[in-house]
Amino acid sequence: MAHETDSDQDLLRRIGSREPSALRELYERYYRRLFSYVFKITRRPELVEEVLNDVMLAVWRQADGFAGRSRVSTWIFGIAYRQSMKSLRRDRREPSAEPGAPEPDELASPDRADPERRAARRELAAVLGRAMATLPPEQRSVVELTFQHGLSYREIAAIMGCPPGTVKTRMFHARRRLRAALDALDDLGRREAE
Amino acid sequence: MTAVADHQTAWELIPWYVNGTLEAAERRLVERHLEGCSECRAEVELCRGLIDAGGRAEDLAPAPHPAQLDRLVERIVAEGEPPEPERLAVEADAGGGPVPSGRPPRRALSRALASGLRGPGRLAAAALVILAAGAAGYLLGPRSGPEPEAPPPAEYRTLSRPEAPSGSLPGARPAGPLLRVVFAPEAPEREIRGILLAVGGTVVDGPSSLGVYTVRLDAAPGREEPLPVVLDHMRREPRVLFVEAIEGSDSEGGESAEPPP
Repeated sequence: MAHETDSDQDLLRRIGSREPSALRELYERYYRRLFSYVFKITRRPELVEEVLNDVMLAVWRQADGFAGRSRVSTWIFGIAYRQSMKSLRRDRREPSAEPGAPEPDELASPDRADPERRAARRELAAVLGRAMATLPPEQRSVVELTFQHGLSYREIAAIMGCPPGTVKTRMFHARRRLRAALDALDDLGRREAE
Repeated sequence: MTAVADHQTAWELIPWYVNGTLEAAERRLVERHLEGCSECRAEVELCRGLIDAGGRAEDLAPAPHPAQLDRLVERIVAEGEPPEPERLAVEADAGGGPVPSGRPPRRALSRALASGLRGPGRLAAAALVILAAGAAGYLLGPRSGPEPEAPPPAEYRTLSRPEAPSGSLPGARPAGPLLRVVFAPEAPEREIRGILLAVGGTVVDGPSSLGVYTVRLDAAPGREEPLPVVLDHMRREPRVLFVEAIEGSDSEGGESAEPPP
């Protein structure tokens, strides 16, 4: 029945029996998480709405085929991953060659920390954002799902349709790149302090 | 396991140790290793820093606009059942299937005309007819003939972007789309102001002798709504007799095929 306490599974069942209100509820529930994820993978603000719409269209059409072998969130993020990659492919522009995309911190985040900490965090986020931009989208996906969405490497493997070992390898390469960016920031800070 | 293999395994698992998703055996392995490995302890700090710097995913994104949600759900439901899921993006055009690019914006047109004829004044009705004819002209013209940037046959058309802006640059958004708007003649100024405020619009020209305003949408960056949502919102206003995006000021999305109210 239609209640805000419906589990994801209940919502999906209702979507499977063609209840538009359930689709709306699920979309509302996932919108911000998916928005953030799709933006971080594609780094193309103008693609995000389009991908999200395609994700929800796929959910509407395929909900009755959801077998329940994975969590609903895993299933939906899997669709979002595939749609994001598809939109990057059909756009045929290299996402990492997109310096104009705002860093996540510039998007919306209301920051409750004090100004000094906020400034430091902004700088860190900017450096990391630039480093993230140099990663392939597959590596960005692993980083995002791990650190911002708190998923296990097994769930990430299920979302991205690859073996768990591949998730670890992608994370390995991503960490090296991010670490190098942070070291450079530290180095800069030390030289400025001198 | 050798110390080297141990280190390798632990190092790989650290991101998921930090986000708390390891299974018990893996977590114990990492914890044991951390006691004697400063390199991995530093890596733990790095990963904690990554979580902190990124923030929670939910906090980064804007909340969906209710009107946007309504509209999307309406459109998706109107789509009905697809024969082939892999054609999803192609068929996602709100009209219910692939739309020939030359199809006239019939609904927008007929709706504008209908509301104009129900509307209060002959002058307004005349303005609507002229405007609608103009709208049909500028919408039909470039779409029915061969386009300089005609997309290849397999070009995707999607819900929110019926026509792939093949020529547009990422991030190079124009100052704001321009709209032609006709308000009901009896609409008081404060209502017009309220309608414009709600969509972040500024009058940049008009009213013309026929009562046509040119309105620029200037929503704050990152918070603006897709143009079709704004148009839809405005069309629901009883005081708005006619609204149409001026071609070239921005890409209008799928207005020709919006679902009936």
